[in-house]
Amino acid sequence: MLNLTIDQKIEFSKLVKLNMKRAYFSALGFLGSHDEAMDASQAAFIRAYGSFDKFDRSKNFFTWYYKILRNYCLNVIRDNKKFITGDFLEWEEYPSSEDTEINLEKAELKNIIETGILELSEMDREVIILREFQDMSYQEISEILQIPVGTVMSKLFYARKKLGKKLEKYIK
Amino acid sequence: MKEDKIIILEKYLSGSLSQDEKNRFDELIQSDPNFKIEVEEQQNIREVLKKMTLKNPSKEIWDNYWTVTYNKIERSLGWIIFLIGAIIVGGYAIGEAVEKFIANDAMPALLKYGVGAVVIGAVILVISIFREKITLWSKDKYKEIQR
Repeated sequence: MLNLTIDQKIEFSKLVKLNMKRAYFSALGFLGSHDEAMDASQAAFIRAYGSFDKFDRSKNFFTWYYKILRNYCLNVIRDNKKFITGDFLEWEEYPSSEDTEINLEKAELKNIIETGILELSEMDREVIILREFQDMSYQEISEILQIPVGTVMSKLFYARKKLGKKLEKYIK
Repeated sequence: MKEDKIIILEKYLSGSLSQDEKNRFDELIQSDPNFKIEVEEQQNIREVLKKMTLKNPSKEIWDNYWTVTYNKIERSLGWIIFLIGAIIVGGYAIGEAVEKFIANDAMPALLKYGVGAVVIGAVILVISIFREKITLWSKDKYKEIQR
């Protein structure tokens, strides 16, 4: 931590700025709360800073960082030993309606999706968040989770099916 | 469902089918009613999910993200240096105190034994706590995850 050069520090600050949103959203997918996700993403950057001199520059920074973040989030989940609940989704385009019933239905749908995602296994939750909410390619997900592309596709398929069971009422 | 069908389905959903795969997909849609149902179901779930997005914090939070992170890095560094210094100074002070304590002929032997017992007891307690922490850490199923 103490032996980074000025150039390495500048490089690190640029990498943080470049990856902070992806880092935060990934943590949000794990932990479901803004405060926890913000803390986790920053704590993981602090750990990454501590071993940044060992980071292989030929590799992708986010892939390397994600392992630290993932480990941190899994420890938070394990240490809290409670079901993490959260309010971490919002409507892409907020449906403004004066109809209370419609608004309640929208709120219920959002709640069902959030609960459904949080009830998935950690790996299923990761693939859903990375693919459906962060628009990462199968290849990128395969690299950061270190699983084959086919496995990513298969996990996505079954994770969606699990979510689908909760969303039956809302699916055409 | 078999993995080859899942791969074709996923590629269809992401719009990345090659011509051969497209032909295979069309063939499956025609010949396999279950496959068709799965495709429709997955499309519908995606449609619902697409309506939602992860909550994005305010611009102010993003503008301050690096500053906050840097402050935390600086504080961690400060604590590490402080603790190293405290251990060195504390160790030196303890060494000096023990030396003077042993060399003090004016102090009754019984008191020396009493103080010695308190110190040895405290050391055993500290070692016991550290051992427990290390045992818990060694059973940590995520510790092997490469950082």
